[in-house]
Amino acid sequence: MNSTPRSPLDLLEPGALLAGPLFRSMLGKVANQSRLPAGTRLGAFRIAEEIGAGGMGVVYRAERDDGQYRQQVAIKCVSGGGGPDSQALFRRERQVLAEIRHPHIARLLDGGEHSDGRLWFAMELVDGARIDAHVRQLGLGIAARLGLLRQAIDAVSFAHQRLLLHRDIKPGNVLIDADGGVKLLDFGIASLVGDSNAVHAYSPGWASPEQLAGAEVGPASDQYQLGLLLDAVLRNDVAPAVLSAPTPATTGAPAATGSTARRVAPECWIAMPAARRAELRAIVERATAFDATARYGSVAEFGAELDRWLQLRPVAAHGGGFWYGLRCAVRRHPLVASGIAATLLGVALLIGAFSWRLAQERDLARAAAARAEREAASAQAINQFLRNDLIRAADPYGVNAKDAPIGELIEKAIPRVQERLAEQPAIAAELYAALGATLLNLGKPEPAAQAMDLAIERLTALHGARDERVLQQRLYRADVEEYAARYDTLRAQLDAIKADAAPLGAKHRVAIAVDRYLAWCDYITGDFAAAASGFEDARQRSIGNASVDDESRASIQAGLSLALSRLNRYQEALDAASEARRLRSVALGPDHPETLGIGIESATALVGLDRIEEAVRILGDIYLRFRERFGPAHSQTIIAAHELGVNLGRLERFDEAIAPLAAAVEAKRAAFGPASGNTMNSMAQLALVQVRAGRVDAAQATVDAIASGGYVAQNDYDRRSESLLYRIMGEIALADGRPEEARRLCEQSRGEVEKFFPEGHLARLQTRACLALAYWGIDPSDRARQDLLALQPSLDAAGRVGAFWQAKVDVAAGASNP
Amino acid sequence: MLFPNAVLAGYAMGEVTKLLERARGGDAAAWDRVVELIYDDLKRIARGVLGGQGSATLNPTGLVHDCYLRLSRAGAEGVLNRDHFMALAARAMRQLMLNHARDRVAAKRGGGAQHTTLGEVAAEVHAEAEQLIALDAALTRLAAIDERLVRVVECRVFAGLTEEETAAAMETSLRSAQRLYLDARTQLAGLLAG
Repeated sequence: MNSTPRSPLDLLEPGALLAGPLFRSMLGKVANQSRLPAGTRLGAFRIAEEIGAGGMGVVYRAERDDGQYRQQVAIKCVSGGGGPDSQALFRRERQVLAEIRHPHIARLLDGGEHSDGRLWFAMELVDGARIDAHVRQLGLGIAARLGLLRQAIDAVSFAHQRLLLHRDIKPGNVLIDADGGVKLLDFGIASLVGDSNAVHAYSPGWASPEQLAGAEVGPASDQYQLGLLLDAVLRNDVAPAVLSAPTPATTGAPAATGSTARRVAPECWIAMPAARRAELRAIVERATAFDATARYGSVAEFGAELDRWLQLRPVAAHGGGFWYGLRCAVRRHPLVASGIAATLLGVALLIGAFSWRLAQERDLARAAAARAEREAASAQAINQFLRNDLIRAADPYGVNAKDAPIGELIEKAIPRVQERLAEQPAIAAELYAALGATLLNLGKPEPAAQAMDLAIERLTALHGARDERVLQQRLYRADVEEYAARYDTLRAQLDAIKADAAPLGAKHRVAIAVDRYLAWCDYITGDFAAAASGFEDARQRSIGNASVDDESRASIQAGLSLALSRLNRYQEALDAASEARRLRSVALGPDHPETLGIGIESATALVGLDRIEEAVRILGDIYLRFRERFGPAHSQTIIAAHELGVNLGRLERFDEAIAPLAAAVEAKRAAFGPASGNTMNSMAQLALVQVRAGRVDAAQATVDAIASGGYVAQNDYDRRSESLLYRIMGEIALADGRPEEARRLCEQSRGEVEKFFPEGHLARLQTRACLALAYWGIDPSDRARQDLLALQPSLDAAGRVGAFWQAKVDVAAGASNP
Repeated sequence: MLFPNAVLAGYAMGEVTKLLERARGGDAAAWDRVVELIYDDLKRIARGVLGGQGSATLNPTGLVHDCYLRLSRAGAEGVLNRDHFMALAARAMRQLMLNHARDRVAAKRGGGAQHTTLGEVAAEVHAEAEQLIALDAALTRLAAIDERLVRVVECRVFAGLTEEETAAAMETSLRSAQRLYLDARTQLAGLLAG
């Protein structure tokens, strides 16, 4: 411990003063304005980062670090110099503050003194904007602004009733929290820090006259600051009128603390009728009167006055008088009052009062119109968010744990729509529809159907059963049946909608949309001819039909393209795909995912036309764009990756094919699980390109992963893929020098392939070729040679695939027959 | 950035030089600015000492050197004499410490409460603050006798300069500086006793 000098002369010992406690305490005070590094421990908390700094100190975000529980807090550090003399006093006041519970007061949680002497206060962390910035950013109307101020006044009044002052009310201490409510920060911190240098700490311009004078500070001082806050909240723009003030400071020079009052500036307030402005100005001026006794009796009274103003009743602050009271009566009860006016004061006054009211009505109407516009815009924004952002983000492939909570939230939101919007069925219907669409995309068909049924019910009540909005919603509802693969129900629903839409006429867009859905239904149930004619019919009816938008036309053309490809009418399919792409480009823009997505249809048709290089170019392009735009897990990215890999394989660019197929496998495993047939299909294709690229071990690992993943065929499509998988496994066994196993696998494949692929299909030929090579590998007999030779004509006719197998046959034959 | 603090940034380069010259000539406003300059450096150093690295030792001479170097870079080089500046800084330090001592004493009086719970460190600070205020009053009176005796105390006690640095700052010989300091101590003892 330092020995305290007993005489001033002791300070003359060189180094004594600079090593002594006074100099250290000065450094401590100086350092209080410096930052604490992240990780600094204050009580039970650990500093994470600085989030702000003001005249009174630095604010940090901190986390509880005593292993008790997780909690984020805001910690304010302030200078301890000149603080309360008594630790006991500090602790008592801190306790009182910690016990204050009010929805609009950020709670004080803890506080203490850091080792360097600075005081710290842990408070509820409020993540929000300053009140003045908030009201301007949202362009809030006067009532909303005053509503926020009323919350602040309530909070201050609540504290005053418990004998607590705030002492430092300013916009930086009044935040808007996530719920849109006011939160007052730093309640009572100024008094905890102590009075003696508090004047220095006040924010320039915001100190009350009694604070500046160093006089007794009471509730009226908080009222003064609330009055300034009201002025700030009413302003249209950033305050121009803060008088210059010296930095609040700690410099040794005598601080010039006087003459730094903020000026109330009603001319900067948002638009309101002149008379109303004059009243409000009177209210603000009374609350901010220089003489504390001239202000309202209490903060609560100040709040009540604002309520009166909002209710268009006479305000006390206004000089009042007969004329003023009459005007207030007129605006509250225009008809009654104008009668009184006519009787008492004659026509002249009536006209005067009326024109005044007209002017006011005009201003109010303008404000109302602006508000209505804003509300409409925000409703639209919500809808756009739901329909576009949320729905697109929650695509059908995204059925995984990550999205489950969103789905649950939306499910829970359904009953709340009824609670909140019982009086607004139109909005409720919109919300039900949007929630239903989202739920469907989140893989929750049952709650989706429930929400959509509610939407249909509301819309029917509003518009009648045959209204096109009802029919349109019923079409969306039919998607649920498609999703659940209940094709009979789907068709029944579509037929019913078609019947109900008949009165609208065949060229009505809803009628055309129903037929498009029906054609799609034909397509997915495998009746490609019916699908093609259905799409073609819808296309014909939409030609020159202004009621059909480009997006619908594009969907018709896209469906037509797919159906035509299945009918081997590849050139027409390609034309339809090009037209679909053109239409989507017009409607949505050339880079829109739906526009790019048509590339899949184009590529399908191109492959059919054996224009595989072109298909690969398109697929390579859209794969990169999709991956960049949606990430590797998105459905469109996965489809493009798979198709790209398969077609690179067709071009015998096996090494290049591995990466996209591996990406498709990874994404599908995550989306569908390793046991899904969809995943198996991509894994089989991956194994194929791996073995053909000469990576036999990798190929074997891939097919082993199919087996260990628990794959079980669910439907014919899976079994069809499975039939090819056996042959691929046969190819691997052959490459690995296990011809007997290859024979067994290829024979299994042949039995299955013949069920799914017609005579002459390349799949059949490849299995035959592989089987013949297996037999040759087991025993290069004459019989086996005859089998290989018998393949020759078919392979010659089979283009690229034929040439691939021919080369293998030549190698095998050459190797064993030199 | 060349000027890391607001005080300096508010001045053009030539002005810094003029400011220091005016301060030496007794201009009160210019003097306040010099105090702020020193105070700013003090803040920076205090952060280093208390802000984390653990070392509680402070070299005030280093502080003054740093401040001088910064001013030199700000354009005072060549015009501002380093030794003059040392003397000036020592005076600024005296001013700063006196202000702080006064704040401490005033804070205790202003509270009006009993001081029984005051911590030991706070009590030491308070005691030293009162010693310093007494010493400062004695120095003020000493100035009437011999201004140079005050300068030497400022350099040795408030700026922590060595005997050699003090001699250079006062533009005198080492031996004279030593003698002046002894004289000052004797005179102050008399003034404080009286």
